[in-house]
Amino acid sequence: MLASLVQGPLLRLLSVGLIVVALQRTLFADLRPFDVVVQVVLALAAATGAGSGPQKGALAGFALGLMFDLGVGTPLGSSSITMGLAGFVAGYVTSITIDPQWWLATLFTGLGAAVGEACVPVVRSFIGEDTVLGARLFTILPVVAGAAMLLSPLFVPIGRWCMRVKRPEWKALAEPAEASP
Amino acid sequence: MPLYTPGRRRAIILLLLTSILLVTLDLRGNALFDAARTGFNKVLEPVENAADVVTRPVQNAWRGIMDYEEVADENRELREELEAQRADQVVAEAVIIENQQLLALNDLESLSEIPTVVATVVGQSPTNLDQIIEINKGSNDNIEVGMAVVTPAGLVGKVTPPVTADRARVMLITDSRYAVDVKIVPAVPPPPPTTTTTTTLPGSAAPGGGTAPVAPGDSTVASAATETTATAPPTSDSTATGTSAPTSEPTPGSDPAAAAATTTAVATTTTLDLDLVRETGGFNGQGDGSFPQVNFLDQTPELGRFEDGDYVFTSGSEDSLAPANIPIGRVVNVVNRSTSEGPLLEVEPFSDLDRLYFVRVVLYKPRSEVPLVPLPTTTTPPELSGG
Repeated sequence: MLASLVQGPLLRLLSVGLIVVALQRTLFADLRPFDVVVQVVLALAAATGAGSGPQKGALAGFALGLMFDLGVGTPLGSSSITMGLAGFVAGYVTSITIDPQWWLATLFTGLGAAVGEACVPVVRSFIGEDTVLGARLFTILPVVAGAAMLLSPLFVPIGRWCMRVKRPEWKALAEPAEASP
Repeated sequence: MPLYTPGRRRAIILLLLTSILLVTLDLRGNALFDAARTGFNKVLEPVENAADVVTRPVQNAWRGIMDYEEVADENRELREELEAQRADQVVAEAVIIENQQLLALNDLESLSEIPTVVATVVGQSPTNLDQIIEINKGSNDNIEVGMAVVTPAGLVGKVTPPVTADRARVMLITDSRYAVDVKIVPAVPPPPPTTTTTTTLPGSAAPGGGTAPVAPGDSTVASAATETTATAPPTSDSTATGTSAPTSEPTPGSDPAAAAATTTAVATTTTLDLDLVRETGGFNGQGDGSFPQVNFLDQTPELGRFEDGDYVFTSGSEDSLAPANIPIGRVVNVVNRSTSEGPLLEVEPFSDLDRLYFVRVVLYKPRSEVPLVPLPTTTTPPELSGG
């Protein structure tokens, strides 16, 4: 039990998640390009999905979302859904791509982040909060996606390291046709 | 490796269901989750402090690049504004002191009597949806959830959970979840009533029939009748100046002497005008980039129509978390809707919510939450009981 805890991805994800949530609350709360908060935790979840596959992406997004909710004060579990979805979407589109180059992983990270951010008002509406975003969403989504794409060259390897994805595994992810029996 | 296996699908569905379960439990209120939040924030605090120190140069560089022009322009404008307001400040302070004396004289509640705690803004909202800031004071300074937060310009928001020992979060008035009862005070005084109100001021037997100032401490001002009469025009000043709300925007073009005279007259007509001039409604934030709105209003013809430039203050109703007469903003747009819906007002806040550095938390509990103290039983004096 203890060994699986230490050897599993949980500890790495927790330690990296703590740093990223702290950065989200300090640096990235102040740096607001076009008056939009760059969602760095969401970007990490999407990048983990793009680098490790849909299941691990969803798992990382779930864990990072929980940490985000605990740190930011949003309803616990609400960000788990959106970030889990971001990781899953980024991982899924990477998985169905025949030859996912590094720049495609960047693109998919942006896509996953955009999907996750777009779902935030939806989830909040479901839990009974009045959310008024309207046209502003069309500013938020490109900025969040663009920032996630910029961060993805750094975050994809970090995500793989967190999820303990070894090189052969992500090479196999990159070549699904050959890897599948 | 197939993309979808039953095991994978099950894992993802499990994650989704777990999230929904967590949201449900958290929204219903769960002590375990609150403890987890507190614990996580304790763990996060040193990491956050370190991140803040390490990234401070980056933040400064970013601000230097992005905000330099704006800051330079703002600095010039502020210098000009400061010069203009120095003279006004002296007049305003005199009026406030006089106003407080009058409020005390009439046993009226004043905002300045409520204790406040000054706090520094230490963090902004890390999401694009919530309009929340973080301050460096918490439950150690008696700050509780729901308390109003103000700046010298006006209302900023309210304290929202979680409140820790030395940190608290403030939901800004632009947040779409923010709501408070407000009253609308016309910027242009309503037309005077057809019947002239005659008010008798004690001690106003000034030579020439002018209005003499009321001596502080004269407790008989409201009821005494003397031989000299003076007409007190009902003006909107009775509400605006009848409080010590921390507004930095005195009535434009007001003459200090006239203001003093008006205030003196108000002392005798306050009760009447507070009831007459106010029109209450519900104030709601509309999210970042949109003006907050006031709803649930009745267009009462005798009070005049709502117009751009009207002032919005907290009404301080029985259950309201904010005390009365905190200035919120100015009406910038009036949307006339059907009679059943009533008009809708868009309000520009007085406070600059994008640049908050210091705020003041008003340690106020609504009257409905203050425990009632039983009144001591009094015996009727023999001379009044007729015995």
